[in-house]
Amino acid sequence: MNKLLYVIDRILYYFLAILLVALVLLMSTNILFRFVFLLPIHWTEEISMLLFIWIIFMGSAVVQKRDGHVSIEIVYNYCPALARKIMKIAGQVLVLFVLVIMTVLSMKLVRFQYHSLTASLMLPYSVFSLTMLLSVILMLIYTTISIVDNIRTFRENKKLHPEGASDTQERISS
Amino acid sequence: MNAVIIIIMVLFFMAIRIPVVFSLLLSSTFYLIFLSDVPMIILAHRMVGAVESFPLIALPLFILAAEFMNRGTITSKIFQFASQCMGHFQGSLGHVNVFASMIFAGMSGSEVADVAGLGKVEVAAMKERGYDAEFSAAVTGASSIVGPIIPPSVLMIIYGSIAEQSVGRLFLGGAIPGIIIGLSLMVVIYFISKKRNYSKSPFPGWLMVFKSFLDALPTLMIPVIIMGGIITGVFTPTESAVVAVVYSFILTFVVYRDLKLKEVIPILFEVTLSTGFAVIIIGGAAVFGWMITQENIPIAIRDFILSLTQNKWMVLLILNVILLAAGCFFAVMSILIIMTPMIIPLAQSFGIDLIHLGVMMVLNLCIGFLSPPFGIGLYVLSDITNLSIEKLSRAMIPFFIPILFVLFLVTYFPSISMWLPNLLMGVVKF
Repeated sequence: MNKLLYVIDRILYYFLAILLVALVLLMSTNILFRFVFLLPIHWTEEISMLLFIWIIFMGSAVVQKRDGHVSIEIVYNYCPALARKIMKIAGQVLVLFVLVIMTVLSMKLVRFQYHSLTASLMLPYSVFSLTMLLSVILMLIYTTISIVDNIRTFRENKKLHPEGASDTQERISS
Repeated sequence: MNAVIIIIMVLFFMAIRIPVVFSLLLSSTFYLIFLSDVPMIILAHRMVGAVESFPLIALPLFILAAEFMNRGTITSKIFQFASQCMGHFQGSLGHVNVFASMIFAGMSGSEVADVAGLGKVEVAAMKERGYDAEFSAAVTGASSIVGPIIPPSVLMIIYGSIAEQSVGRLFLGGAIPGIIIGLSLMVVIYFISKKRNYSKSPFPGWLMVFKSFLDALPTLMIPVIIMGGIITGVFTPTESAVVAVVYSFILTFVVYRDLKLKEVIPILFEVTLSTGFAVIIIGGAAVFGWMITQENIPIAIRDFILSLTQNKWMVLLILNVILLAAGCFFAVMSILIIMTPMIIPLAQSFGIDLIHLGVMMVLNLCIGFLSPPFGIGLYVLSDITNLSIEKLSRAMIPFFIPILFVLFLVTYFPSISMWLPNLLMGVVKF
């Protein structure tokens, strides 16, 4: 399992870098062709959009793995440690719920858009929504792993420090 | 009734530290399941549709260009040029700091890049010359505010794509307010330095100024290319971002040799993450925005404020207070993304131009970026300078006066933000 996750990590790392390079190269070639050779290439806009959308969704999947999406910490920071742990796990379960729904919906959308084609390259629109499907599946995996980890440490802490002792300890150390 | 449930739901989710994008999606999901009979597929449809916006492609490109420019030589050349120009005023390095930030703002689009890159050079140089640490940090922080106002600007791109306004016009709209902020900060620095008797260096002579200008010329061309291209209509803002990337890459990689090839891939990777991080919220907010429009919430907000006052100036005041308060507590980008669609109907019914509104919102939120207790800018600064948040906040107080004054001017004199775009890109009639 860990091995598989590592492989996915490496693939995403290079894949995202390549997407961005491709975006820059494609758009600069287009500018070059327009000004120097006076030949605007009509399909670049579509491909740039495709690259951009893949960057967004794959990028935000990696952000989810790092638990790095913008969140509001004011209330959280003022809560005692035990409440924080409960909030964290409850929050992640809710996120998991929405991700499951998104997975189903993205699958539907991919199937739905398979027959509508883009204007200049005649690609099925599914090439756009496919990235969302992949992204939510990845996020689903990452979130599940994180929940399992959190519950495990939560239990271990409880065994070591019964009656909320871990609570005070964490406050002192922070 | 539904409206109240929706608002309570989303606030609750955010309060228990569910990431903003998932809070928006969760409340929309519950809404679609329990309160509406629209097919749920709209959730996925809206999410992909919203990010399919051509102006937004400029976002990763400007972030990437800023990463390349932040590698060393470019920032130090700007700093050198600025110190030759401004060094002979009382409190020399304070002015240098502001001037350098203004030039850098014309090249990069994010305020964090300004603090983290140029800020480090500036704070170090000021410390060396005997300025006290609080003052140096405060000047660096205050001057970084011009980053998102002076074009190019990531926040303006995001606002433009949500409000469906021309990014080029928004860029130009920020130019004059940004310059006024820079100048007014210099006035404050002048008076503080006079009182504390900070040093000044002799004027190096026009020849030296010209020499450092030539030396920095390749760097100074970046803002000229970006804005020149947009103003003349040769480039769209997105294309000018591509040009900025290619130009700054050649400069750092080939000319100044600040960058090794193996450092490029990590940079590219991190830039794609910052992009995903920012733009995915726009996707979530589009779903949420659809829902609140279904429930007529923006109209309700408009009517509520209309019932309080019919006066345009009062409405602008209320908007400013709300935005400033929100800016103190929440992340700048998420406020911009969530609040823009709620405010637009209100602004339109009072005939407030959306370019004017955009400049005002971005300025407001940037002040939030620096204000205690949760401004990210303060934390970045305290990271660089090892000063506590309290000390930094206290040192910043005198600089908030000119900034708030400019906010007042921008709010109540629309021509400050509208004059330049109307002059260069023509008046748009509705």
